[in-house]
Amino acid sequence: MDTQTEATWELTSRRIELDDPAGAMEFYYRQGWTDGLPVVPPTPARVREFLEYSGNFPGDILGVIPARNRVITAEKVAINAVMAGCLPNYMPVIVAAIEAMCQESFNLHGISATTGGTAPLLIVNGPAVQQLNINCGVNLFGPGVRANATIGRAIRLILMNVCGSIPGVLDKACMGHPGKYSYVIAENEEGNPWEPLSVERGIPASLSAVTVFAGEAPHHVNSQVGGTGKRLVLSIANTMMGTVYLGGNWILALCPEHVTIFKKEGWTKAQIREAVWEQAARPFDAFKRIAGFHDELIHPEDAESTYHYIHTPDDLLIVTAGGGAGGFSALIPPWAAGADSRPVTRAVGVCIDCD
Amino acid sequence: MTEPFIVLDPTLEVEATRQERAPRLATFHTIGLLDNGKPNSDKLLKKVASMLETCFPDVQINYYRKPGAYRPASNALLDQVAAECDVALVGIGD
Repeated sequence: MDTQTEATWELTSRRIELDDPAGAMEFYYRQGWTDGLPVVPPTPARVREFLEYSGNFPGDILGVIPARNRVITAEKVAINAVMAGCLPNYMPVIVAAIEAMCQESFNLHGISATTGGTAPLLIVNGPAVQQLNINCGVNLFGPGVRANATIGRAIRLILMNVCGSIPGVLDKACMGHPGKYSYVIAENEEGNPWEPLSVERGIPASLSAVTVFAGEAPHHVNSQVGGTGKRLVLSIANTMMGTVYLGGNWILALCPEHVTIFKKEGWTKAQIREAVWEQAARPFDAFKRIAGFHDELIHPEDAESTYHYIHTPDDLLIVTAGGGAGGFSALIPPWAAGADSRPVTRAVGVCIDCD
Repeated sequence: MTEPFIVLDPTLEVEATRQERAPRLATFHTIGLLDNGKPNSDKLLKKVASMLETCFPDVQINYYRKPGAYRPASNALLDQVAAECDVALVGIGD
């Protein structure tokens, strides 16, 4: 008889007896189990509800971090999602995000331990955006929408409580950024004249998908009077040309006003990528000086070559999102190690028993 | 008497198993230096190598480098260091 591999609905996490919910909130603070904000106490009944929604057994392994010898089970994901204030129907998106983050090319250990201070940004596409009311519009990266605020918060709590990314212990970020509380957006597919990000990345349009990206904080591309696609490209390119960006992917969240300008002139995404690649460039020696390279690493021939801030046009991921008024798009630079973390897109599982 | 309010532990709960240190060797012939791939870590390790050469003139020193600082060392690289050296020095240079 082999009972070891038999999946059960039994929750195996340690049960803690407390007096009441208010006392539980304080208890979780004292244990160091919060991100600094109060949490919703995860009762077994509520946790079970979350697992039932995603169709996961508690012991399902959603991912592993070999370098830390950590295993992420569905039960721990559900507990932290409850704590974050999620609704049960957010679970499939969270599960897909965790599975995506545990793909080797994402390098979860690196991006969540680094002094470079990135956070996983989640970009959601497909029917889930409307079903879960995930914000893709006004105040895109700001507060006020439960799905955006709590799905990202669940990711952070899982990173801290399950993966060990405790600030100052395994999370050594020098600066961090506010997206480490929550960093979730959706693409505005109705206002998008191009293929959605998830479709470009191989997911059928009828499915919901989540793309995870290890990014810095968003930077505005302020171009309110530019008026032409060519000038917009210059604004985008110059916003990218900061200090030490060593390749990898960038996210460009194009606001509706900027999308309209490109659309009117008939630009494709490929043309935008190509033009940004071309413009976001400096002589290699100038890049090295700005990036603080030692003199012995700057060679005479560097003046003859060009450094492109995205190494290939395809490294720029474009999504349509943001508020209807204002000429502000946003660029999200990659982790300091650039190509050592690549974005991963994963379809969101379908609950066959749900309506 | 009121019912207790039951909540669940959100952490991994599994204590990391404590690894005993390998026995210290009284004699050795080969030392491996594993560079973690950070800029300038090679300079630090070269200095370490020259100090070791002074202290242990008969010992061979092998130098290894991770492909990058931002990923763990591969099992293949760790196996190679283990196969080719009696002892190895690893650390973080930043």
